[in-house]
Amino acid sequence: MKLKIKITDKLCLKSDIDHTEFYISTQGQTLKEVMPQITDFLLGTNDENLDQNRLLDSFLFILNGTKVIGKGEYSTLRLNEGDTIIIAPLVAGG
Amino acid sequence: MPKQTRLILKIDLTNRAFEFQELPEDISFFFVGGRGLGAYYAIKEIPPHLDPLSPENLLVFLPGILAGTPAPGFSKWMVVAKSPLTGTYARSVCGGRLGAAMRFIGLDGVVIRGKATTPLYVVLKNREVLFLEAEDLWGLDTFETQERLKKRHGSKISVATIGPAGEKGVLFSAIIHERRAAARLGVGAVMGAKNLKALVIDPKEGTPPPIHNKEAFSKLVHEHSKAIKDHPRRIRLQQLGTTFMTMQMHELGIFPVKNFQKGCLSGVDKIGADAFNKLKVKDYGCYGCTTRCGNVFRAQGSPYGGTESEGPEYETIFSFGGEIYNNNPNLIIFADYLCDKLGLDTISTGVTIGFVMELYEKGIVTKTELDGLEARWGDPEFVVKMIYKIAFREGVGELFSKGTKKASELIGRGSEYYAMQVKGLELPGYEPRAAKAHGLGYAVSNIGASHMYGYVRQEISGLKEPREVDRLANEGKGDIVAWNQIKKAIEEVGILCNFADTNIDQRLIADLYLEATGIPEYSDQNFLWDVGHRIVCTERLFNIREGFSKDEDILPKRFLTEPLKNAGPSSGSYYKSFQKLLQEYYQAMGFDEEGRPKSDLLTRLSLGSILGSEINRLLHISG
Repeated sequence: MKLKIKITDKLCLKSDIDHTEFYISTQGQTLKEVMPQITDFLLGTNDENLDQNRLLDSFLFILNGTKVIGKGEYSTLRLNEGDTIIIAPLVAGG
Repeated sequence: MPKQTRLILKIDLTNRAFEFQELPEDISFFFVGGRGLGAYYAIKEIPPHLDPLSPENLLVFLPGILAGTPAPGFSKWMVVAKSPLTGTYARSVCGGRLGAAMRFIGLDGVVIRGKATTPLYVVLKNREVLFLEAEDLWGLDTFETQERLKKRHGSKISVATIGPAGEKGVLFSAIIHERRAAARLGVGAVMGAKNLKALVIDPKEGTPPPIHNKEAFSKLVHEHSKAIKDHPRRIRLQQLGTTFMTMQMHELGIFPVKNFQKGCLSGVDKIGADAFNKLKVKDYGCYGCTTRCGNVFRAQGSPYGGTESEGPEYETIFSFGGEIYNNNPNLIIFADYLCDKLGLDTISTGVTIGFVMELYEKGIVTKTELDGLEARWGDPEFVVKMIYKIAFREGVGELFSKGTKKASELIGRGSEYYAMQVKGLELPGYEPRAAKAHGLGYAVSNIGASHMYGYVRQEISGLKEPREVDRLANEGKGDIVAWNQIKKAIEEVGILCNFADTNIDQRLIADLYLEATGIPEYSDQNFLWDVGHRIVCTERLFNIREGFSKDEDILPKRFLTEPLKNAGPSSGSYYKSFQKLLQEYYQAMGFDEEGRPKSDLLTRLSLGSILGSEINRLLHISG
């Protein structure tokens, strides 16, 4: 079962990856549960600048382009096959 | 009622006269400062049904009550007038140092009326007011004007100036300060119509504004500054301003493309944050701001190579990017630079050019009517030539210098459908069909389609205060729009910047207002909520007096009838029941079904007694 991850700007992540889309597997887990896979993919190595908590605190996680996953939902909202998570910087201004 | 002193300078350009006035205590108490005073002066001192370019229009420069203090992000300033673009109330906000400079010389507002017989500029230095000839400055761009004035009066001065666009009366011309703009609603044209080239504030011999309880105030500021030092939002904004928003909005289908025809721009990543980061030269901050979201970018390659511009911000990336179907960041930087230099609003300029491009695409206007130019989507030559033509009102630029609403009324032939405006103000970079509370906010805003009249952050950033919002839903938006408008009005008493508000909540604002002024009521959030509500209502009363009604609280037809195309998760969305949303908003604000404040609301907000019984009679307020 695949979950699509899209990053809006690589710069935000200080990551060296050369693409902005990738897939991870999910068995109906929560965002918090799949975070290790996401950080592994983004970093490849242990980067202290991008641990899981920092990522969760610093970015918006948007489910299927319509719903911003709230902090209270990180451990409750189930992610399913075919879902897309957009990782965007927490900026929203005007 | 506690005593507080607010000093207003009133200038009469016709007679080159001035007077310092203490603001009446009740006005100061109920409207507090900043935008509150702007709303008050607009309705009390701008004569009804006035031609906005006539001498009797006011041009009010206002700092907030915290400007010049160490509170970070509170030193913005604004201009209030009757707008020549919309005929509505106008408030246009700008950053930089001018707000702090005004407070350093002890002023809470400068109210300018009249018209000079020849071009002049005004210098304010403590209690001195100098009216100086500006014949040699007239015709200069905004950058050169500021340079010359700094050579003449010293580098510490703050200058607000118009460029050729304001002098020529372009209806969406801006007032420029440093590289920042009080851009919206044509306040530059109001200044130009007064033959006023620049307002210069010299704070050199001034003193910091008084703070009632310095110790408590400093503690609040210190704790706040410490909390946001490493906050990711602040860091990102310092890194690259709002360029980060482009890709996010595009992914959500909110980034408008081809004059709001669709939501997909091919190669959009070329104008995303990663791309702009490669062009960044340095960052910049307004007075006392720890966020420092201003960024200077340098264009590369022919023909724009070397041009530097502070910004572009997200809105300009939209207006000279998606709106005109362009993914070249160098053109965006150059267009931003030209608009600042000539004194134009980048949103209205870009959207007007996008409007022309769609009219050309649809065959509504021809090459011959466009001075032999082909208005092809994304064509840099057309864009640059149109900016100059509009700024100088040359050739076809004369028609489009009036903005999309007035231009479409003159063109006819169904062109009105393609004018992306509300009440005459061009739309900013949020596709209404993909963020429906944003769109409702544009429709009911008292200054036309502004995203900054009550930015609905809940729709796109997951903010859950006061509640979560489904951006695509066709109902349940009215209360959230009202909430954001009132909240924004409270912040603009300050005047708090939207980008520097990280971790600033209503409690902190109330505490800062209290400790700065010593007015106990300001610590009461309910009192402040009434202040915000009062400001929005006063602005609405101004518009009602000018003949605006529910009929003008409407979005362009495209959003009500045409499903959004190519916009990812937002595709197919449109407003299915706009009138219902409108009634939701009216109800939340305490307005009647026609969008007029009810008499019990006016009583609760003390507006009847403040503004006088004449207002009630004039407006036929319903019960």
